[in-house]
Amino acid sequence: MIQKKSPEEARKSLDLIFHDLTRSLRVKDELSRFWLFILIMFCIVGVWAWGYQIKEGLGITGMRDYVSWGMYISNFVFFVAVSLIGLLISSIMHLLKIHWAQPISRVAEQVAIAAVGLAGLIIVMDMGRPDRFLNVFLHGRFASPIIWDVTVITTYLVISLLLFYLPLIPDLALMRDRLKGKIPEIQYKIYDILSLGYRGNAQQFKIIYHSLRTLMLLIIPVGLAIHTVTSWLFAATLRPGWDTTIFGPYFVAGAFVAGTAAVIQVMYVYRVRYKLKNYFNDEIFDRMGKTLVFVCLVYLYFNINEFLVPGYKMKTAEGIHLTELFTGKSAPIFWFTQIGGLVLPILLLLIRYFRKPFPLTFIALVTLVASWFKRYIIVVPTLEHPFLPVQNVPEHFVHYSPTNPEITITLFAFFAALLILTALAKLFPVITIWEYAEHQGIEKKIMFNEYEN
Amino acid sequence: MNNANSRRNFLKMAGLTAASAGVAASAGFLSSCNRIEAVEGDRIKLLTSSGELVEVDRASLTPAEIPSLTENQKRGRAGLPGRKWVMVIDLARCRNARKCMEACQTHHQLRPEQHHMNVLQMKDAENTSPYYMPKPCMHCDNPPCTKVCPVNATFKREDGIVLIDNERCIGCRFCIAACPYSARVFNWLEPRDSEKYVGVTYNIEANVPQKKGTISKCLFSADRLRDGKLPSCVSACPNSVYWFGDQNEDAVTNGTTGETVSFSNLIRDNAGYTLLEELGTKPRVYYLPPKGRAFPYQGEIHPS
Amino acid sequence: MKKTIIIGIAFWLAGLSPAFGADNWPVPEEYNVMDNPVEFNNQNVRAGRDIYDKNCKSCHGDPGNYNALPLVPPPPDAASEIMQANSDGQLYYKITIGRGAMPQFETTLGSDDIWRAITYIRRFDPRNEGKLVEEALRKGKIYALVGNYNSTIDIVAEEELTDNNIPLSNTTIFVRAKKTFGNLLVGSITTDENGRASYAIPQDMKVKSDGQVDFILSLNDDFETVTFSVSGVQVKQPDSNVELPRVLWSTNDRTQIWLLFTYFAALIGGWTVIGYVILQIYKLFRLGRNNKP
Repeated sequence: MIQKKSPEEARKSLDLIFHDLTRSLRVKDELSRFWLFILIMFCIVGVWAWGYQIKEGLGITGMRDYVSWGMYISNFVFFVAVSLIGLLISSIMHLLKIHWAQPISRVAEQVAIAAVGLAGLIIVMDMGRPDRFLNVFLHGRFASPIIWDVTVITTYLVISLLLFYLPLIPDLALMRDRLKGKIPEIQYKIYDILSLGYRGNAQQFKIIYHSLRTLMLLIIPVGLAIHTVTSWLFAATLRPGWDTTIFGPYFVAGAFVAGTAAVIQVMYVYRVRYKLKNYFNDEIFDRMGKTLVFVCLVYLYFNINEFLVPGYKMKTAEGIHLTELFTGKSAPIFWFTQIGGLVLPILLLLIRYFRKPFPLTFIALVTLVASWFKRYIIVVPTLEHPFLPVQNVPEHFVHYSPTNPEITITLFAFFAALLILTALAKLFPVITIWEYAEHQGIEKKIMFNEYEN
Repeated sequence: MNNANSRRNFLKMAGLTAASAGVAASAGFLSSCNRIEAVEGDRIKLLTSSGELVEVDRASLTPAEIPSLTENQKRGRAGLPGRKWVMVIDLARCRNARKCMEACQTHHQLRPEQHHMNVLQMKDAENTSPYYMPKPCMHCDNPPCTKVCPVNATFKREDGIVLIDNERCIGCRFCIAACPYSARVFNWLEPRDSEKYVGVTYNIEANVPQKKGTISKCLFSADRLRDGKLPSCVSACPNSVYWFGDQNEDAVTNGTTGETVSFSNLIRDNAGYTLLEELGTKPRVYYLPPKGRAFPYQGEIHPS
Repeated sequence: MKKTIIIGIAFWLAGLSPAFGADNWPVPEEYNVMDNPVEFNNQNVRAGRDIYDKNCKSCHGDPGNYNALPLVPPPPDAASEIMQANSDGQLYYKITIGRGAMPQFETTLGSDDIWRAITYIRRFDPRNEGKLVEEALRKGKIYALVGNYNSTIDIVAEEELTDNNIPLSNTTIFVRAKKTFGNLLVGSITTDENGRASYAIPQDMKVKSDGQVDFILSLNDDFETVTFSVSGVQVKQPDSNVELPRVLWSTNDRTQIWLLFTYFAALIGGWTVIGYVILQIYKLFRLGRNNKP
C-alpha cells in the first residue's frame, strides 16, 4: 500500500513534510504572543490564589467538613482521565497496528504529559498541608490508595515522558541536521544534545524501536492502574454512590471519552493554527469521531450499570443519592452529562457530516465539558448526603458551592495544562516526522543519509 | 534543658491545686531568683486536662511532669496498656442539653461549628419517633479512616482509641470521605484562639493545639483517661446519658451519677446496639434505645 | 413542623421567664390533695436518699448545700422553701411529668420510688424537724484474706461495742470490685454465727489484662461507713503478649504481607523496566558519541 518513492521524489517530499511539521516551531506572530501572555497571566493569578489559600487555609474554598472534596478533586479526576488517552492512542493503537492513529500519537502524548503533570499538582493544591507533601514518602502507608495513586501517577508521568521522548529522538536529529542557523543557537543546542547523536543507523533505530515496544507494553498496566486506583479513592469508602465494584472499569471507560474529546480539540487547533490540513486530515477526524462513538458506547454501558442497578432497588442511602441525581438539585448537571456527554455524541457522530473536523470538534468540546461535570457529579453529591444528618453547622456546610479563589485555582490547572501543550508544540513537531515520512514511502536512508558513513 | 526549650514544653497537671501548692512551697526559692524570673518572664502556658489554658510560673512546676513532643507522640501512639475503652450512650436520657458539646469544644480548642461530639436529632423512619442522639467518634475496631490514611497520621491504639497526629497529617481529607459517621472535622481556617496557643507543645492525646489544615476528631479525651478521669463529655453531662469504662474490666461508670455497672449487663438488659452496624465498622460506642425517655422530644429547642 | 417550632418556642420562653418559676408550675387539682403512701421513717428516708442521689442530685445538688446546677429555671434545692412549699402530691406530679430540664420520671422510676424520694425530700422540711429519731449507727469492722489459691475471700466481721468486740453474725457484706472509674458491686454474702463468711470469687470475672483485681468489702447502712480493701487479688493469669494480627487498617509494621508483596513487586517490576529503557537511552547516547562524524 505504501509506494516506494524514488530518492529524488522522496527527498522533495521529505523537505515538504519537514517544512510543514516544523511550522509550529516557527510561528511567532502577534496571536501566539498574545496567547502566551494570556496563559502566563492566568497561571500567575492561579499561583497567587494558591499562595492566598496556603496563607488563609482551605477555608477560603467552598469545601467544609461534609463536602470535604470539591472542585479540586473533580478536576484531579478529570485530568487523570484525560491523561489516559496516551495509553489508548500511542500504545494500544500502535500495538494493534492501527496506522491511521499514528500521526496523532504525539498529540496524545502531549495531552497525557500535560494532564498527568497537572493532576499531580492539583492534588498538592488540594492538600491542607502542602508543606508536608514529603510525609507521603517519609511516612507512606502502603495500604492507602493515595500511596498507590502517588506511585502510579509518578510512574505514568515518567513513562509518558519517555514515550514522548523516544520517538522524538530521530526528529531531533532531523532538526539538528536541517535547522542549523535557522533557529536560535540555544534552541539548536538543545536539539543537538537531546538527539543523542542519532544518525539513523540500524543499531540506533533498533534500540529506539525496542525501547518503544517495551514502554508500550508497560504503559498498559500502569495506565489502567492510574485510573483504577483513582477510582478506588472513592470506591474504597462506604458511601452511597461510591461504594460500588464497577468503579475501576467505569472510570477507565470514562477516561477514554474525556481523552478522545480532548485530543480532538488539540488536533483541530493544530490543524488550523499550523496549517496541517493534510496531516490532521478529514479521514483522521472521521476515524476519531468513530472512536469517540465507540468509547461513548462503552461508557454508556457502564453508566447504565452504575445507575440502573441501584436505581432498581433504591436502598435507603443509595435512594436518597439517586433521587438527588435524577430529579433533585443535581439533576440538570446529571442529565447534561448523560445526554450532552454520551447520548448526543453517539447519535450525532453516527452521521458522516458530524464527523467532519469542525462539527466533530464542537461536539467533542461539549463532550469534554460534560466529562468535567461528570467528575463533579461523581465527587460532590455523594458527599452532600452522608449516612447521618448534617446538623448544628452553618448553612454553607450543608451545600457545596465553589468560591472565587477556588474557581481561580481550578482554572489555573487548565491554563497551566494549555501552557505545557503550547510549550511542547512550540519546541517540538506535533507529528512524528520520521514515522510519518516513512509511511509516505521515504526510507530512513534518505532522511539521515547526509551523515551516513 | 534550656529555658527556650522548656518554655515550649507542654505540661499536664494533676490539677490546679497541685500547682498552687507548688507555688506556695517554692515561694522561698522564687524570691531568691526573682530578678531572673522577672527578666525572663519565665511563665509557661499549660493546658489543664479540663481544657483550660492557664499561665503559671515555671518554677512552680516539677520538671518530671513535662513530656517532650516526641515522648508525647510515642506514648500517645502506644495508648494505655491493657485497656479497651468503651462508651455507652443512653438515648432515653438525652435532653439535647449540649453540655457535652460545650465541654468538648473547650477541651479540644474547637470552633463553634466544629463538633467532636454532635447531638443529632434523629428520625429513623417516617412513622417512628424522633430522638436526640449524641454522636462522638465510634472508635471502630475496623476503622475505615485509618485504613485509608496515606501517612499514618491517624491510627488505632491498642486501647481502642482512634487517634490523630496533627504533626503528621497532610490534610488530604481522605479519612473524612471514608468515615460513614461524619465524625471528623477539618481545620479549614486558623483554629479557635490559635494566638493563645502559640508556644504550647502539641499534646497528641487532646489534639491541642489544633493546627490549620489538619484533621481533628473525638479522642475519648485520651489525655484525661491517662489521668484517670472520664472524658470531658461524659463528665459534663447533667442527665446521666454517658457510661464509660474499660471493656476488659466489663465495667462502665456513669459520668453524672458515678454509678458503676457491668457493661455486658447494661448492653444486654437494654438491648444496646451500635450505629450502622451493617457497615462492619465494629464501633466501640454503644447506644441504648430511646425507650422510656427521661424527657419528651422537643425538636430544635435546647434550653440550657 | 411549624407547629412544633411554635410549641418549642413557647417552651423556651416559658423556661426563660422568671414569672414562670417553680411557684408557677400549674399542677392539676387532683394532685394537690394526694397523700404520700410511704411512711415517714428512717428506712424509707434512707431508701429515698439512694434514689435522690442517683436521679436528682446531678441537678438539684446536695440538700441544704444549695449547690444545684445553674440552669434556667434554676432547680431548687431540696431543703429550700420553694421545694418544701409544694405539697406531696404536687411534688409527685412534677417528678412524674417533668418540664424543660426536669426529666419525666414516670418512665424511669416506679411510683413507690418516687414517693420514697419525696419522703427523703420531706426530711428537710422544717416541720419535720425532730420527728425522726436517728438511730445511732452501729460500729463494725471487717477483716479479710484471700484464701484457697485466690478463689475465695475469707471474711471476718465483728461489731465494736463499748467494752468489747463481738462477732457480727447474719450480716450482709457487700463485695465490690474496684474498676477504673468506680466500684462495681459484684456480690454479697451473709456471715455465719461466728461472723465469718467465705466469698467465692466468680470464675468468669472480667478483670484488667494483668489479671488482678482489688476487692472492697463493706457493711450495710445500719453501720458507720466501713470498708476493707483486698488489693491485687490475682484472679486470672495475666494476658501473655499475644501477637497482634495483621490487619488492613493498621500501620505498616502490622499490615498484611500479601499487600506489601504486591505493592513492592509492582513497584520494583515497573521501575526495573523503566530503568532498562533509561539504560537503552544511555546506550543510544554512547553510540551517538562514538558515531560523531
